[in-house]
Amino acid sequence: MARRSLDRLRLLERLEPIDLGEERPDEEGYLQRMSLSATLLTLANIDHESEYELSRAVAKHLLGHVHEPEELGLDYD
Amino acid sequence: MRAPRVLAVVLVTALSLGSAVGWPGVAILGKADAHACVCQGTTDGGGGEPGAAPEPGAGQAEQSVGGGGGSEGGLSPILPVLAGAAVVGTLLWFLVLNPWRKRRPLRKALEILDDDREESFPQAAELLNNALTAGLRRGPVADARFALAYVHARMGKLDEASGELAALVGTGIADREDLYLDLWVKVRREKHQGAAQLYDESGEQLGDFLQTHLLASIAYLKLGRASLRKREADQALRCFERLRELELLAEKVPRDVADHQVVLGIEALFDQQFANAEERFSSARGAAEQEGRSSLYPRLGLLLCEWCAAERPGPDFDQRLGEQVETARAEISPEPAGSGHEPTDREPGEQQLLLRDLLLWHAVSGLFASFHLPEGGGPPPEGWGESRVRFGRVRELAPDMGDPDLLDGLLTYYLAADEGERARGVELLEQALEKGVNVPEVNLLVERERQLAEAADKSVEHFLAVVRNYLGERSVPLELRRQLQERLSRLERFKPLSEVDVEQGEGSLTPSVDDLHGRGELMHRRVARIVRPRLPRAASAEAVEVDRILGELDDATTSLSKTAQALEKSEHDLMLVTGEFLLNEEESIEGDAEPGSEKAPSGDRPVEEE
Repeated sequence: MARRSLDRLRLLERLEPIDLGEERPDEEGYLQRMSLSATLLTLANIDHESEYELSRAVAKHLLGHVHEPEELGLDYD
Repeated sequence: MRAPRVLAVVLVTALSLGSAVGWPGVAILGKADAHACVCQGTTDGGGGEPGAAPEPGAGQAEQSVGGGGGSEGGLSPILPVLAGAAVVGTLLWFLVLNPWRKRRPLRKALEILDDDREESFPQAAELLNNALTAGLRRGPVADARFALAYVHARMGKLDEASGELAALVGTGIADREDLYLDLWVKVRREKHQGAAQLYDESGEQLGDFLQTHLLASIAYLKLGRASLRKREADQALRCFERLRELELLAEKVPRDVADHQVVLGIEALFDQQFANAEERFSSARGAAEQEGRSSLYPRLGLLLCEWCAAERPGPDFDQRLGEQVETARAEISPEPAGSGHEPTDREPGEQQLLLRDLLLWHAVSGLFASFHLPEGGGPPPEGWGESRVRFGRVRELAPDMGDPDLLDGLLTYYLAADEGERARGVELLEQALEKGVNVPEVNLLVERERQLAEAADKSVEHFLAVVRNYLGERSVPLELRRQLQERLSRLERFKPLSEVDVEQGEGSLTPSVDDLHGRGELMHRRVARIVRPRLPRAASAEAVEVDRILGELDDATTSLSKTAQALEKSEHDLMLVTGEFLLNEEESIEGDAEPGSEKAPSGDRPVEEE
C-alpha cells in the first residue's frame, strides 16, 4: 500500500451531512401501499362513505323506505 | 522505470569520473563507447600497450585503462571527492529534491484544504490537477486524487468528483476513506444502485465509519422502492432486508412487505387484475404452508379477491372471513393493558392495525346477511346482537376509530322502534363525528335531528298552549272539553292542564258555521306545525294516526264549508221558489172567485206564522 500522508478523516468530517430529507407524500406512501396491514380497508373499499351507503341500503331493504336527511326539518308546506 | 534510469545516470556519471582518475575495472563495463567524447576529454593520451590494435570504443577504454593505470598526478586528489559529490548530488536530486519540487503544488493545495478556505477551492483544484501531471509517486498521487475528488465534492461538482474517485478506487489501493467519499458522492448524486453495490462489496471495510450506515440505508430504501415500481420484487425485497439489518430508516418499510408474491398480489388487486392477484396469493399460500410459515396474509389476499370481484359476498363468505379473524386474533396478541404502550400513547404496530381493520371488515361483512331477510320485513327478529359484538371488538382495539360508531349509529337510528332508540342512534352518530367521520349526509342528519330535538322541547309547550286554548273555548261542547282534560292530565307532561277551569263563564256558545270552519282550520294549522317535522322519520302507530286525523280534520273543515254553502243556497232557492209558488196559487184562486164563479173564497183564513 502506498504511503498516505493526508489527514483524510479530518476532511471527510467537514462534508455536509446527508439525510433522507422531506419526501413527497406519494413517495413516502408508496411502500405503505404494498403493506396489507396498511391497505386492507382500501382494497376492500371500506370507508365512511361506503359504510353510510351500506347502512342505508340495509335499512331500506328491511323497512322498504328510509328518509333522506333533507326531508327532516322545521320547514314544511 | 524511474529508478533504473536514475541508477543508469548515476553509473554513467560515476564511470565518467572514474575513468578520468584511472579507477581500475571501469573499462570492463564497456561504457566508453557511449561516452567517447568524455573519455577523449579526460584521458591523458597515454599510449596503449604495443601491438594492441585499438578497437573502436573498447580499445579506447582499454587504452584509457592502460593509460589510466599509468597516469599519475594528472588530476588532483579532490576528484574522488567531486565524483562522490556528484553521485550523492545526483541521488539527492532524483530521490529527494525533484520529488519535493513536484509535490509543491500538492502541498499548496493541501494547505488550502487544511485551512478549509472554500473561496480558494478552485485554485486548489487547479494545483491538484497540475500535481497529477507532474509525475508524482504512488502515495502522493493517491493523496492528490483523493484531495481533488474532495474539492470537487465540496464545490458541488459531483460528476468530476465521481470521475476522480473512479480512477482512485480502480487502482485497487482505495482504503476506507476513499470508499466513504465514493459512497457519499454516489448517494448525493442519487446513484442508489451504485451506492448499494459499493456497500455490498465494501461494507465490511467501511464498518460504521462516519455516516456510512445512514448513506447505505438511504441507498437501499430508494433502490428498493424503485425496484418495486419496476415490478422487480426480488431486488426490492433484498434491499429492504439489508435496510432492516442496518436498523436505520427501517420504519419506512412495513414489516409485512417481506413476501414478494404477496406484494405482487396486492399490486394486482390495486390494478383490479383479480385473476392475477388470486394466482399470486395462491402461490404465496402454498409456499408458506410448505415452509411451515403463517399463511394468514395470502389467505386474506384470496378473500380480498373474492370480495372485490363480486358486488355482494357469497353466502358462506362471512363464515370463512370469521375463521381468518380468529386465526389473526390468535397470531397477533394485543398490547397488554398497563404496559405503558396503550394505543393512545403511541402508534399501534402494523399487526395491530391489520387486526383492527380485519375486525372492521368482519363487522361490515356481517351486515350483508340482512339482504337475505324478507324485503320490508323489518329488523331481524334476533336483533343486532352479533353485529354489536363485532362493533365492540373494533372499539376495544381502537377506541378512537369512528367507523363502529357510524355503523352502529346508522342502524340504530333508521331501525329504531321508538324515540328513545332514535335518540341513541343520533348520539352514536355524534360520537362518530367527534372521532373524525365526515360524511356530508351524516353531518346534515345529525344537525337536523339536533334542531328537531330543540324544537321538540318547545313543541310540548306549544301544544299545551293549544290545548289550554281549546279547553277554554266555550263554543266547544263542555263534555268534549272535560273528556280531553281528563285524558291528557293523566300524562306527566300534561298535568298542568288539570288546572284549567273548563266551566268558566256562563253557559256555552253555539258556534256558527263560520266559527266551526275557522276553528277547524286553526286547529289543523297549529297541530301540523308542531308534529309535521317529526312525521317523516316516525314509524310509530301514533304518528300514523296523527297524520290520518289531520287529514280527516282538513276534509271535515272543507266539507263543513261546502255543506254550509249548500244549505244557504238551498234556503235561498226554497224561499224563492216558495214565493213564486204561493203567488201563482193566489192568482188562480182569485180568478175562480169572479161573478158566476162557485169557487169564491169563503173568507180569509188566518195565516199561520211559524
